[in-house]
Amino acid sequence: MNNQTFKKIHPVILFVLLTCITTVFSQNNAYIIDTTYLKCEYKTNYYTDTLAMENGIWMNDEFILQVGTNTSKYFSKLTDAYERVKADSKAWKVYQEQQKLERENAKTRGGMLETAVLARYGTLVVYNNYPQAKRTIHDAVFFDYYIFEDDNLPQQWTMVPDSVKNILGYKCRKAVCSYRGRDYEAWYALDLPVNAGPWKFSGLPGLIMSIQDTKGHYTFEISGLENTREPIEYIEYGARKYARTDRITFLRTNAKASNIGWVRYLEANSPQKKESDFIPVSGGARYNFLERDF
Amino acid sequence: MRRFTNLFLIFILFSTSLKSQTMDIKGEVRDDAGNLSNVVITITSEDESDVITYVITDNSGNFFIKNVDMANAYFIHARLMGYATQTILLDENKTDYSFLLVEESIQLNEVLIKSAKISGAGDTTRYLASSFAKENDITLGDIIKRMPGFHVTDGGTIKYQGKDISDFYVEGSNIMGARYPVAVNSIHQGDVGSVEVIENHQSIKLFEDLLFSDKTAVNITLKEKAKNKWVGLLNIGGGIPNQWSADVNAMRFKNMIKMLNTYKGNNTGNNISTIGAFNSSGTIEEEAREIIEMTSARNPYLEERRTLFNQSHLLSLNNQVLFGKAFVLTPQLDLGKSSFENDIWEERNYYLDNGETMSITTREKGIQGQWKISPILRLEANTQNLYVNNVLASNIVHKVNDVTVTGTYPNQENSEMDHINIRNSLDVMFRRDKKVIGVKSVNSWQQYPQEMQIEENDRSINENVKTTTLHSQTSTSQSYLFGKTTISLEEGYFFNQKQLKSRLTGIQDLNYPVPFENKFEYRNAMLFVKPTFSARFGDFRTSLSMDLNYNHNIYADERTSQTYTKNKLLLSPYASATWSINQKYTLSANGGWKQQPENSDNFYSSPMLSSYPYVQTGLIDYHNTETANINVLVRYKNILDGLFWNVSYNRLWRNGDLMYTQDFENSYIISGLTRKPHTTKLDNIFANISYMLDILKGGISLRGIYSHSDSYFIQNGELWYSVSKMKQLSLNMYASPLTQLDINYHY
Repeated sequence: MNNQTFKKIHPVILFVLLTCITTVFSQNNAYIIDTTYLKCEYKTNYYTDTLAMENGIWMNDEFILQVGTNTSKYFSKLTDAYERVKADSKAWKVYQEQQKLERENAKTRGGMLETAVLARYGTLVVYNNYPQAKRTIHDAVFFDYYIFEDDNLPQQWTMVPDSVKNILGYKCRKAVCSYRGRDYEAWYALDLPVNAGPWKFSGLPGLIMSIQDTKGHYTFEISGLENTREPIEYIEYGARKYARTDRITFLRTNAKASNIGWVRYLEANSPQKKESDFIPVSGGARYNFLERDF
Repeated sequence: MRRFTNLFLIFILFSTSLKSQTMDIKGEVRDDAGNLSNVVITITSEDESDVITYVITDNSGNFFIKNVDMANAYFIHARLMGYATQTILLDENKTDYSFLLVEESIQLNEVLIKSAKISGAGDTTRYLASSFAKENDITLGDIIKRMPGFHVTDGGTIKYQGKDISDFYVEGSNIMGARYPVAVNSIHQGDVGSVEVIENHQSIKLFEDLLFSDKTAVNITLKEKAKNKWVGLLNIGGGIPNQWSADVNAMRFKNMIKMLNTYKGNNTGNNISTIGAFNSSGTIEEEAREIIEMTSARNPYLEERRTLFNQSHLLSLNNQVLFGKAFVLTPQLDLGKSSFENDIWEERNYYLDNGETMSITTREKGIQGQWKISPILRLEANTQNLYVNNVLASNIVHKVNDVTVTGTYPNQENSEMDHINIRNSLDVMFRRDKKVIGVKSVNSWQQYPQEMQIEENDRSINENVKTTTLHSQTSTSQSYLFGKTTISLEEGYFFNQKQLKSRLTGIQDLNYPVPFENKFEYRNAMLFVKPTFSARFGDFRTSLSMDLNYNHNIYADERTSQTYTKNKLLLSPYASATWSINQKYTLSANGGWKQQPENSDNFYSSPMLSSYPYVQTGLIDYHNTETANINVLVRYKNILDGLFWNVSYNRLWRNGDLMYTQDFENSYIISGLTRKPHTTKLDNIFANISYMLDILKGGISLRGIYSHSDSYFIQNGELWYSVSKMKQLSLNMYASPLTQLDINYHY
């Protein structure tokens, strides 16, 4: 009986989210820039401590790539859902109550939460070819949100002949490149003639299905794709305060932040912490960023 | 000559065919509507999947490929999703190709993108236990300490990224509940597969409090070999002279029944009786008062291990049973016995008005024994429309203290006390369609009988005290939303009943009406409503709340059969505002005013002895106190420069009617209260500046605290006004220049 009750909750959450997305426009600053003909989902993995990879500390996330005729958008699935629901206070309230129910439910089954917790995960959003011949990037450092522009140039690829791999039922071929301080290996599907890929990757004769840097620090794997028509929106979320900057300044700020680390950052920002609250924490994450040319 | 011509001809043919090996190809792609960009143009051999070179059309639909190797080139294709692929046979003599593409429905073998339904969420960090274990590690706590971000105390409490974890699961089960520290040092590290941390960054909106109001949970997954059978840990130590410690753990995790049982014992200074100690209440109102003092040697500046002489045993039994899919029952039982050896020396100096100093030295030597039984029963149920989480807990403690006192007032003190505590906390949620209504209810009962016997010179002093508290509280909350503003409402009732019975005999030289007996009762019934209004306008956020409570108080002196009734409506407003000026500066302020009744524990008439020669007296008077406070904070942060600073100022006013008194009569030091309305102030300034240094992967931070407060008290009839100031400056430098090297300096 409990399973049935439980299954009833999921459609309710989805329903709430769906109805909210349409009414949320008024709270966020959003406008439609294109329409998709293809929507892909990528699972991303990255190591938070690249100097000690054998310790097995890895973080994962799920990103959506919306491909339209002129532009494409790459963003974190759960962060987007979170920001949309949050912008609508009614929806947010209902979501919170459902989550509370979820937690109680979980305790009863002696288990963990089964629905995803809506929260801010990956903060990166990439708008390719928006504006024309440029990219617009949204990203964050701790709680500060930034917007900056980048060029829209594809990578310089070298085909690797005689390499075939099957991904998601598509025959894929391999290509390699060097981009902004890293070497990458990509698999693209010729049967999907789409000039697009995850993050800023593009310029191959087919959709990039999987790509990773040769050291294995960052991997992007496609996990789903569908032929769907939905609007691609440019959004500035109402709950966030954005600052304009440029790519290099952003990378430098991000590098600085990773050296500082969350704990030091919180300590530096809290006026009333007692001395005994200073827990010695080994220096922040030692990971190299996706782009290293700064 | 002819041969030469032939060679020459061959050479020309060869060179022209060499030239025709590469050529530039260009063209355009269009459809009915116009130019097509992003079209993939590929040059292939006869095998269409063998791509020799490719290019993508620009915004005008044009393409240009340089130096195409024509040796193998056979076809040129134009491909775009949503259009039929067009293929043209390459012609050596043609450099320009035009394509006119025709729309076609997309044929994909779709792999549908699943909706957001993941367990544990994408914000899970998983640490593989095997990667962190070192040879000498024994328990789970030993390996967690090494994982980045984790800090584990000796008692087993885990902090992740500086904050306490709120939930600890083993294989998804929260069998230990708040007692998880016992498990941390009892699970063998070899049975642990991985440690998962599930974080929720939801509360970004509470940034100004820098609290992640939501939880961080840790889940331990066991290796397959450790499931469905008994696994355990036996850790025994010994030392000179006569030192021993033991740690035994046996656990079994099956689907329907989970068991985790441990025994810990030692005489090496580890006070295990406080590990996962049952926290009886969250509020002072629930506490039954302790009158008789049982001191134990605790020096906060020295490590407990060096100063605690103990013999401690703790047996902890934890089980969890699942009934079908709807009910979970978790019975837990803790049994503990400890004894401590005390040897305390103390000197107190009292500065009297006539310039004299009264000095009292005391040396206490004795043994304190403690027995504890704590059963907890948790019931969680989930049915169609009702979710219930009920925790029934009890704590029964028996303490005995035998002390020989030498010094100014030598005496022999024997005291005994029992502390019995039963508490039930209930969380219920009613669900109706999409609406959820939550109700919280707490009921508790505490009784604290205390007995003391003092043999001093040639007299015998006896004291019996019994305090009892009965507490019941129920509340519910709702929220209403109007555009950018939210109104939340919390309402409920609160009932509190306290009883104090005491009897002191054997003292003749104290100037108070005999007999020294108290029989008092205090009852408080309160109804409360707390509306909170919060709004956000761009960078400015504000909230205003008002605590309204209607109190019906009854103070009864049962010996004289006198009853005092008071009805009062008390208001406590609170307001806060935050302005995020830009990414660097933030300004916030808050303030409030609170009215509450004076502490009911002061309401009694006859003296009580807490220990020789300290006497406590009360006051038959009832009043309200008022406190007001304001707090201002300015914060600056610049991540790129690595510079952060913040300053906060806080002022508190307290307006009360009762003032502390201290009197010296014969050999007694009597503390009490008298009616004298007064206001005291407290000022605090906190400042902090941090600078982060990239090269060292560290930084430097300077903190300062300044505190100024005043207070009044009356000593032997004279009013004393005192001011206390505190200044504190601390410097902290830290660096992690190498992976294996962390430096920390604290001044």
